[in-house]
Amino acid sequence: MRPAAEAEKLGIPSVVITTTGFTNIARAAGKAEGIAGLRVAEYPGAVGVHSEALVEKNVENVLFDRIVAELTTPGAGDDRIALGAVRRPDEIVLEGTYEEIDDYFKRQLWTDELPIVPPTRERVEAFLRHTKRAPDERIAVLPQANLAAVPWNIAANAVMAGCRPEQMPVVIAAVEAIADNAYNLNNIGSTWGVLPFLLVNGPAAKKLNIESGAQLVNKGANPALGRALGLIIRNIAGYKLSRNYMGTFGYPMNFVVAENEAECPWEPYHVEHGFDRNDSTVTACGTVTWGWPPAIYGTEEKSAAQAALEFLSLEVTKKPCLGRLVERGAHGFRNMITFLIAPPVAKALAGAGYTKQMIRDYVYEHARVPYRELEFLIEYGHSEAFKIPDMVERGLMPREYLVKPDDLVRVLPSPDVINIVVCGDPDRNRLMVLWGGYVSPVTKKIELRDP
Amino acid sequence: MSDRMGVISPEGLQLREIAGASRHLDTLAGKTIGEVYNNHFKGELMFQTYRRLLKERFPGVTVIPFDRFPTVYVGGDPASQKKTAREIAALAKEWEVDAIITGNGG
Repeated sequence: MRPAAEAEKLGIPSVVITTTGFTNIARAAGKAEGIAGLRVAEYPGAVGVHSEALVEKNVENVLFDRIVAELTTPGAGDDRIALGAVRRPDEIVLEGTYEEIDDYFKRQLWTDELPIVPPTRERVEAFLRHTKRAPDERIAVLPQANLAAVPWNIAANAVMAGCRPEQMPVVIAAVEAIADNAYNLNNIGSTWGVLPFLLVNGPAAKKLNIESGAQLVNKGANPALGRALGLIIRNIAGYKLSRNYMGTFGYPMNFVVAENEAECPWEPYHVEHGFDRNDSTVTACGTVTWGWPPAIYGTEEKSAAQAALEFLSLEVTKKPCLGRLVERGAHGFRNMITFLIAPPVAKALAGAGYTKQMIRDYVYEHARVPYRELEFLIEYGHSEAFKIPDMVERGLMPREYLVKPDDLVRVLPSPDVINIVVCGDPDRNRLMVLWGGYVSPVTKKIELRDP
Repeated sequence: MSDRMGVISPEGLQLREIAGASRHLDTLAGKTIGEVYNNHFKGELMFQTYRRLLKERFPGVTVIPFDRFPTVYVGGDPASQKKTAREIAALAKEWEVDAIITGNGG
């Protein structure tokens, strides 16, 4: 899609080929790149399960005529995305009862289908008093809709989600984090169902009741903050279900975790990334997985620390799309692995002398699968035409992957894709591995303000 | 719950109008068509069919195949994706390409 947008800027008509249902996301991505009304031609159906003969038939009978029409029909290529009406950010868009407002917001696709707290001007203004930013200051422009986030609309989403006014600085920092080009918000509409989530570090977590302990994603301020993130992704980033937010099975609620710094035996995440321990930060993360949190049991023969390392290595081979995880380099696929480690397991590891970096290095070295398994995943689980030798030739994988079928190969491109967060029930010996494709973590400072 | 209240919009603010796509071609006959491919969704099968159909239906058409342009990588670093896209567009301009077919998805 990006080459088409760049070519259109040079006056070269360009048509993007997609599969059924992806015209909107292609046009939205084009808009994010500065071209409205990108030309798109849809191939009919799920090409992955079509035979070569059926692909040729569908191209000849359907797709080719669509391509020609897009390139040669007057009007095709005109701006077909309605630009939003220009309005003031504090403008009252509706007056009505709670029921009328809730119904209207649902019809506008401004909700997550759950009831909302109506963003009255008074409620929003209470949030604005908790930020140093001017109410109409542009905080960021979010892809894919390329709409501006300002404190007014950021606060409106936070109000709707059920946040409290003093949490406003966290939401603003979250917007700055997902807006950072390194996060890659423009690619989260994939059928994979990429779910953004937030990590909070520093004194703000405790001050704002952001949970780091047992059942943390469901407690304290966490659910409302996660919901605010989800609403911002819909309403400011412009991701709308079945239009350009295409997760095949949908999305769980966006969630928030805080690191339990009091129980963390290592430097907390934000200090690892150059912030002061007394800074408060939000890190935008992503996952497509949730699930089984293995319990760690040490024995006389194998310590709990060693068992934890082996479980982490094993889990890394199970959760992600390995065929994409192995890629590296500038053209390689973006990945982030998050280890959520309960304090007792973290302490066992630290007690055995392991730092966060040593854990990363261990898992990088030991998370391996047989070559034939990786080969199968790439051959039959990828939309790409590449095979492993092609990927080696293109620099997406090193030559160490040119081995025999039963040889073990690494699944991680680098130790650096692993992010370690100590959190969860402080009395449980569990860990959980999350994997997010397309995105990379971005950390921003939270600027607290007492009104 | 029946009290009336006024609410503001949670939507982002429209920045400005952005450029629309370029003008259409009158025909593909006699034109140069560039192929740009990201190795996704069996596009290599599709491009060979486009080539056949273009030559059957549009006399004088020239196709610059996808292996002459840089490969597009869908899930890579955003900055490198943008750089590759600009390189492709510049090459298309230099080679006097009249239209581009690019895919699949991404």
